[in-house]
Amino acid sequence: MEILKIEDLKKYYGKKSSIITKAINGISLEVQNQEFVAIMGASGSGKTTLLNCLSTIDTVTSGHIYIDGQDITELENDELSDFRREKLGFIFQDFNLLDTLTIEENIALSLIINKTDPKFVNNAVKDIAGRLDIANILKKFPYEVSGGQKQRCACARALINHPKLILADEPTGALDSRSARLLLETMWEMNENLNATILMVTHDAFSASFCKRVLFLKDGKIFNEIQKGDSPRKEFFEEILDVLTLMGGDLNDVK
Amino acid sequence: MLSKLSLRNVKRSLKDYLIYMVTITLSFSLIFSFNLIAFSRDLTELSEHMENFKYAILFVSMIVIFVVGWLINYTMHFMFEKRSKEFGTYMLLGIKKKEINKLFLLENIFLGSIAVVLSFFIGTLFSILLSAIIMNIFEMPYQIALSIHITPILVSLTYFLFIYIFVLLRSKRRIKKMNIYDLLYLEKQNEQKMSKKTRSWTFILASSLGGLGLLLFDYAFKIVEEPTMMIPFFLSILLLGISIYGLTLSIGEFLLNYCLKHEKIKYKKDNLFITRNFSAKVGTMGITLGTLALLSTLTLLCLNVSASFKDAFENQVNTRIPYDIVMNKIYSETGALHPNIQNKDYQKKYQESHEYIEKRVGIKEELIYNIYVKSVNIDDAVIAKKLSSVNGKLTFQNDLFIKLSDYNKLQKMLNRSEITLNENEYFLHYYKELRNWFEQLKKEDLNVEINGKTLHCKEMTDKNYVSSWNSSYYLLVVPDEYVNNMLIENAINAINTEKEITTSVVEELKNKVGNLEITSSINGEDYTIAIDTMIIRAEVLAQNRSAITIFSFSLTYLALVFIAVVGTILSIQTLSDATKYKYRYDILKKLGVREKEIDKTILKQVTMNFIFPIVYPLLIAVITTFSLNRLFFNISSEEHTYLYSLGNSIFLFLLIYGIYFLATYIGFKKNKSE
Ligand SMILES: Nc1ncnc2c1ncn2[C@@H]1O[C@H](COP(=O)(O)OP(=O)(O)OP(=O)(O)O)[C@@H](O)[C@H]1O
Ligand SMILES: [Mg+2]
Repeated sequence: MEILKIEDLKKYYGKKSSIITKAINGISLEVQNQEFVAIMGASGSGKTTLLNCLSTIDTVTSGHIYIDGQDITELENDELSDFRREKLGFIFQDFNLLDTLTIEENIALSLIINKTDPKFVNNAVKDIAGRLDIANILKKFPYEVSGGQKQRCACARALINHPKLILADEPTGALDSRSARLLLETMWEMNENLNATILMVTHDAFSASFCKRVLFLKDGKIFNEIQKGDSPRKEFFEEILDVLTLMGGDLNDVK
Repeated sequence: MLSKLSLRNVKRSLKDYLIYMVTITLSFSLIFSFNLIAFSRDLTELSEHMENFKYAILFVSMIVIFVVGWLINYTMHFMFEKRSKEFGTYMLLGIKKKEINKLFLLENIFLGSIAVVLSFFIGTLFSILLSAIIMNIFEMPYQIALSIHITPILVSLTYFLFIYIFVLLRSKRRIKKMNIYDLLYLEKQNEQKMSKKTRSWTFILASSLGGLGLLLFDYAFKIVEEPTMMIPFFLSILLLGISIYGLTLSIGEFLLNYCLKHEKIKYKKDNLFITRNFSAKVGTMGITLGTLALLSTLTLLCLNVSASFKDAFENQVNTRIPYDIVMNKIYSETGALHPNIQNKDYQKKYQESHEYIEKRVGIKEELIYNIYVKSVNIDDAVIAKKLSSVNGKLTFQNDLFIKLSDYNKLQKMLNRSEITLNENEYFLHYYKELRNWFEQLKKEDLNVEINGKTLHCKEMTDKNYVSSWNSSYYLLVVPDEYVNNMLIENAINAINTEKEITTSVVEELKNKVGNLEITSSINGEDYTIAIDTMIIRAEVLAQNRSAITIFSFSLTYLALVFIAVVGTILSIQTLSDATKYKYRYDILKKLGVREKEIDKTILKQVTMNFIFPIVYPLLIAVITTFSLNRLFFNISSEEHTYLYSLGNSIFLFLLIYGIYFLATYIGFKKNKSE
């Protein structure tokens, strides 16, 4: 069963008079339950925009997005809020942590918003923090920790709720390879054991190789798509690199 | 090049600059309006008679300058913070601090000059408004007089210059001390935690100092008659001030810690979000919040003392003459007064004056009533004799009577309740100062015999006694039929006019009636006595425009300035937070919090910002009222007047405060939805 279905999605930026940026220019896509999908593409290719549309924090220009059978492009404001709260988990590119709350409290935030019984909050936070190796900085404030730690905090916040669909925008962008691996393994585990569907934007082929499927975006369109199938990760990794070379140059150069 | 860039930046942060401009203009306007009032003809004339008054004005203007200067400094700091990132980036790009300082300076001088020009207009408006309000509070006839003097303008300009130089020097030092890192990350540093121990100690110390301060304050008013009361008084003020700062600094953290310790509270609803934001606020601006609390306390105290003084003043006038005019008809059957009083001349004058009053101000209602005596023989005056026996110092002449119907009409003219009497009862109304002696008298001492019947005193009171009812200190109200066989001692006309009586009408009336001098003979010697032929309330009010009035006036003015400053700073603070919070609310929204919930959180937050600085001040105001009452107890109109004064002051305070709150909340919500 598919959990996400996108039909001919378009998102244009800019007012009528000025220049229009076609950030997403007709994307159709289906994601099955329990999939772990990576989205790759050059900087400016529309990855964040796509994710923002999926996460209902941005409106679409045209097209439809069905999540869990529900067309989110037709939901009202309050329904959208409820929908986000109950079904989605995000990891934003710029973390979106509250600077007045400690790391611990930032992680607890989505539980609080979901009105979880206060008794369970602490243990849940400790558990997820332990898995992401940030248990020792729980009492610190965001401005007192490194970029990577912030990112892991953002991940913890998104994962703690066990949402149906997790949307992650470059979750490993600021991490060293060890932390990145820890995070990816956690996500993989959530995908495998907790039946979470994950959609992850990434620049980095290593991260993408943890996924079951990789989509390649170019100029707001899907350029290519590859499946991992039964091949080992190493092989899949090389496959991804091949596509990237085909698309033109090292991704990081485009920035 | 830099100035062009900076100008563009100013344009972009126009909203912040608007807040800044409004604050500075309002501050200058407050100072200017104060000077306009202080140098106005009314007050300067008054100050000729009262040397102390000059010092009072000087003292008040010092406080005003200090407080307003602080407000301007605060706003400047606020603008600086807003632009810290911009300045940091300039420095990163290699622009010298000196140049940035010059830029900031020029900008501020430019904006300041505009504010000064604007404030002359707004200040004039303010002064008119303020005078009207204050004059209205004190029931003084006020005519809008737009007299532009050069003195207040020059004095105000000097003040502005003085404040500005000080403030600019400060911001220069601020820029000098900054490094790039601080400038770039100024916004992010929001936690300056006190250690747990310091916090607890601060809390305990501040609370006990507060308690001690309140006790000392009470003690000062216990020994209010003695000159040494100033020592505990000022000491208590000092202690209270310290405790206000201490509590403000520690209580935010205290609250936070309490909340954090209890998971049930911490993880419930938006508690965590709110307390965290709040404690961050106290952490960065504890001193400012402390000052706001201090100013709030002063506002409440000023209002309270001023209200009590005003009540005392009003009471003084009301005891003397609550009617607009009281005229003496000078008509007597007793012959106790010299026969020449009842001369035709005076009756003619009386008639003329009466007509004149009717023509000039209109008569809304009037009552001509008689004051009676039982006989000319003072031995018949039972109450007078009894009183003289308990109080050796004073001799009381004769008992004066009034008809129940007249008495009730007189009361009705003042919107006071009427009384009823049974056949054999009378009512005794006396002047407050006689209370001690009347209370010494026994019930049967007060029995009065008229026409062979014994009348019991139904009730006696000193409440709302009016001394212009008659010329004595007490009055016996009897059922109408008892006066039939009595002699008329005097006839009096109490008048309420339709229009207000202005100073010029008072002058004209005085000229019309003139003074009546009568010659009375006591023990064979002739005495010349001037008789009050006409008492005019407006005149009495004007005459009593004494130190008390001026004092209350200054206090009210100070209170208005203080609350304006408190409200403005809280508004600026909260609105500037709005931008910061917008980001935070966005995150909450992204995480799935509904719009309505966010609005609720906003309301809670703004409310918290506004409530926090006034909780302790309200407490202090309530407690000190009881101490202050020791001072006002004897001169206030009623036993519980101090509670009314307190209620009134709190109401006025909350009213103005509420307006600021509402405006801020609306602005905050608007900012969020932009
Ligand atoms: N709010 C906006 N207004 C106008 N144009 C925008 C806006 N946000 C993004 N764009 C444009 O839309 C295009 C896609 O942007 P998007 O942020 O989706 O890129 P991205 O793939 O996430 O890039 P990166 O890898 O650098 O994060 C870009 O050309 C960008 O300039
Ligand atoms: Mg992006």
